Amino acid sequence: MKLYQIIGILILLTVGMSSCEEIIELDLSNSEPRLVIEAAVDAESGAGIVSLTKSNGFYDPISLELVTGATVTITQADGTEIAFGSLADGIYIGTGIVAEEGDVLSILVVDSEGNEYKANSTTPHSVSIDSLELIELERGGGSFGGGDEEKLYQVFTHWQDKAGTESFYRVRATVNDTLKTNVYTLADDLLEEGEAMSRPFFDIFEGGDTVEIQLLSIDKPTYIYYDNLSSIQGFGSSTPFNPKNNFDNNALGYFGVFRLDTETVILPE
Amino acid sequence: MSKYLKSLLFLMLPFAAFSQENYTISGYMRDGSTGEELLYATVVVKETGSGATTNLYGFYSITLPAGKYTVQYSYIGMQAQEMVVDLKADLKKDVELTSGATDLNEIVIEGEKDDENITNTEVSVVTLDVKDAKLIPVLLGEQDILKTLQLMPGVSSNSEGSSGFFVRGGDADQNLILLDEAPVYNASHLLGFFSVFNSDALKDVKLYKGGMPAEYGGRVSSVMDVRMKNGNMKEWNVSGGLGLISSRLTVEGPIQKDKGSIIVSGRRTYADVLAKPFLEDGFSDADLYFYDFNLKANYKIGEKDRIYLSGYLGRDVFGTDNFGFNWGNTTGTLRWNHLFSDKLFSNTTLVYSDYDYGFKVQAGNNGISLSSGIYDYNLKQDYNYYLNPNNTLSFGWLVNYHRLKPSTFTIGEEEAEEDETQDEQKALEGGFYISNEQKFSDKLTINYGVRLSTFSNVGEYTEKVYNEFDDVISSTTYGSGEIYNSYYGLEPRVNATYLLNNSSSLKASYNRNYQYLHLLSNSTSGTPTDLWIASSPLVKPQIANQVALGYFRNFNNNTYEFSAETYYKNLENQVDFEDGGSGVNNLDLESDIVFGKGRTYGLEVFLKKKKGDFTGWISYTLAKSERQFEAINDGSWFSARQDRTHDISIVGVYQLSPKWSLSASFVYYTGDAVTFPIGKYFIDGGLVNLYGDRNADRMPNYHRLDLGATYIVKDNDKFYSDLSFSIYNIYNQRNAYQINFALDDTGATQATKLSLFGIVPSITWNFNF
Repeated sequence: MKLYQIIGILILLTVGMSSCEEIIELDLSNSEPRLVIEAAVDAESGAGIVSLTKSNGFYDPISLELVTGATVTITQADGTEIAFGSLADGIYIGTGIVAEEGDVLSILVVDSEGNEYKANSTTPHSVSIDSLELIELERGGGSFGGGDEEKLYQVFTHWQDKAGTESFYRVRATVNDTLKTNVYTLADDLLEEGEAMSRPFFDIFEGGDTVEIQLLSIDKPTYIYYDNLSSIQGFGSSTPFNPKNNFDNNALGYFGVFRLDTETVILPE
Repeated sequence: MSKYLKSLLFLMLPFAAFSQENYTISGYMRDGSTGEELLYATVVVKETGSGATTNLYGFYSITLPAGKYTVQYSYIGMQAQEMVVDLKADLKKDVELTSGATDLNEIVIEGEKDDENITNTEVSVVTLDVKDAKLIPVLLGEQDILKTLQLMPGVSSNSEGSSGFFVRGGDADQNLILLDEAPVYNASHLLGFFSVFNSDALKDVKLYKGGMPAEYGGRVSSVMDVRMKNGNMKEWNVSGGLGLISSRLTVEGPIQKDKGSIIVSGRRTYADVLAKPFLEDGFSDADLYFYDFNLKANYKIGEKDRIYLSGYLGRDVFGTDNFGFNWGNTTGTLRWNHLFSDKLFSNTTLVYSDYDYGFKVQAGNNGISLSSGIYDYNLKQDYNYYLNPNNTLSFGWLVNYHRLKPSTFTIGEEEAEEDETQDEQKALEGGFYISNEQKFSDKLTINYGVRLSTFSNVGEYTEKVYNEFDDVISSTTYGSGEIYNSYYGLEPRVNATYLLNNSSSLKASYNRNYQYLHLLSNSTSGTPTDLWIASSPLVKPQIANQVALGYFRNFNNNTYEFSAETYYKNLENQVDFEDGGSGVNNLDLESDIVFGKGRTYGLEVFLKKKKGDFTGWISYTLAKSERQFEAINDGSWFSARQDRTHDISIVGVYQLSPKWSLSASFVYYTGDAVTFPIGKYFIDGGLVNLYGDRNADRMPNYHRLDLGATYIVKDNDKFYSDLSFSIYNIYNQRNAYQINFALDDTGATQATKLSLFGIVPSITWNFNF
């Protein structure tokens, strides 16, 4: 929970019964659809996946407009170009990408109208999970929700920070093979340089769940992007803004090279 | 010392008259029933038309050629007194005014000097009578001078129910809030719903929206000077109130009659006690309260010396098992008034002030906690020199040592270790000023002065230089006590009044102010975690230049008071967080700050009825407030959040009978400038809003009507009590506090309006004996 979320709850508590929420219809201006590029390269396996979609109006139906007919190319640090193929509408994949720690990879996306979008990302160091720690949450006294039957858990991930380098991490989780979205568990080594690190995944799990924890090592721009994303999805108290990203030409989204380690646990019922 | 000063001043002022034998009438003006000194009270010499105003300690001094004079003493709401003097020697005359009973030896004239607003040199100033403010209906019956100020032109509230305020389009941190000369860094309780000022302990409030006298410095948009009561000099007195969410108690009385007095005032809310039944299980053991404690004592050591000690302590506490949150201010002021002569008044002040907050989240054995604070140590001297009837000089100096402790962040098991994420900042702020209020003719009076301010960063500190990616490219470490950076500011201040006739005047002012401390806020509502930072080699001092022009007129024998003022203010070196910047757990805070400028301008119209059974006012502000930051909206000018085009307040109080008084207040203002989404897209499996330009949209317009009634249950010499009823938001207008954009249950996007207060009735019982 972010600080302002807690403050938000406190505000609601303070005003008690008096506050109320209602749905309103606002006359919002609509922007021109903008290209959204989500591009990630797994430096471990050498596989890259790029999805191209378009933004739409706030009150438009939730449907993804997939962008087809684009060309996607990644240039390795040694100058080798890897051309991506289209896997499905709006999904492009590339394989055999060589990315050593510190290598800067660049991506070029050209849409069917010839507009070019570029970004760079630096390959981070590798990381491995030392252990997962399960903490069963107390019922009744706690402030967390959930049914009365299942046990509730918090999952902590423990790992060793690489010494002598600035590091950025993200912990992701899948529950029964479904990725938890809109949860950003981020960590940097600013205060824990070279130390053993540990973070709880910022959500709770129920007994019986199969949880796969993914620990990602990412570069700084990607970290900032995720951090921005998480802060605008909070309680809404901060001045809203669009996340700072690494693409040019007004494209939304990001390009990031990452390394990851995974560990799976089945939570006791 | 005093001789030296005198000769220096005479050298500087060759126009001083020496031709005749001159004598001085001086003394203090007090409230006859309590012995409280009257501030800004008026003394007029009828024969010459010259006059004086009492200073912040109730002292006045007028120098006249030998002769016979009629001197009139007056103060708003009290019966004026006239005295005939045959001036052949210096005369000491302490005067006590009363609201009712009269002294047989003196002639009483009621309310003749009610045109102070026309004749004084003050432009852009709001003076509040704390007693009058008590009749205006308020949220939950909790009287609050800050909320009354928000009903004045040019002063707007931060948000619904908030005691935070903006003055003439300036930011919240640009208001200098002084409580008995001690700066208050966070004047709000309960996340802004109540201010730290307990009306029971207060005597006088003055807000300068512009044209600040040279004695004030350190903030660019306004000065709010709050003075606590000294305590009853005559007899012991207990007063208090029982309200729905808080109770107050004040005890005051003489330490030694007419020599010294003491006042102790306390207030505590019990929201937690009341809220408990409604709270979810997890919060049932929650703490949720604040308290205030004011203390003031003073003692006259002799004819010429008086000592004042005053203090404030207030704290907010929130918490449950899993998290805790508390913050508060502490101020202490020690003052020594000394009369060097009947013309030279001095005050020496020693001030301590701090504001700090702490925050803790505990999850299992792991916890995160952080704390932050700002600590001030301040020494200053102020002099008033009543040179002659046409010249009153003020001068003084101050040094203020600031310690700013940005967030100290602790992470790990059982609060094992403490990691300081940011260096403590230390700084020395200084100021010297001199000003003169000079009467050039019967019609023209000008108060002109200059303030020289200085600011120096003191080590030890590690200064960092950042590149465009916010990476540290170099750092320099300065030793303990080393001054590594200094700023100087020359701040001219001019106020002029030109009397058009007996009942109208034109006034103009120019002021230039420097501000060396800045508040960084990444929320729109203003939270206790907003962070104060000092100017540094990277962060330049804020500068404001403001001009204002006003027309003042009284009607119907001073029953009505009208004013119209226009102003233009430009703001340099404004600071803000870049998008996504945060002061929490941020080692490289300065790299997240962006710099820009601002401009605000507007028209303020005010009409007040001061006398009769029906009193009240209408205030209207037409204004614009804009900012420009290179990193925001591609560097184009955009509306500040508090840019409210129209802001209207109407207040009425009607004395129905001796026992009943009714009141009402209505406010309407243009919705705040905010940022709304202009589209949406998917990223990382989640839906994300695409936002438009910063502050390009508007919240819905705000309006609200409150009603109040006060019934005096008992009023005799021994005991007074009243019941005060108020209904906040009588027609239950659901004003938007916040608009959120999210998915509904069906997966469609929607906008949700959050409104805080519907209709809120309350009752308070007040007593005094």
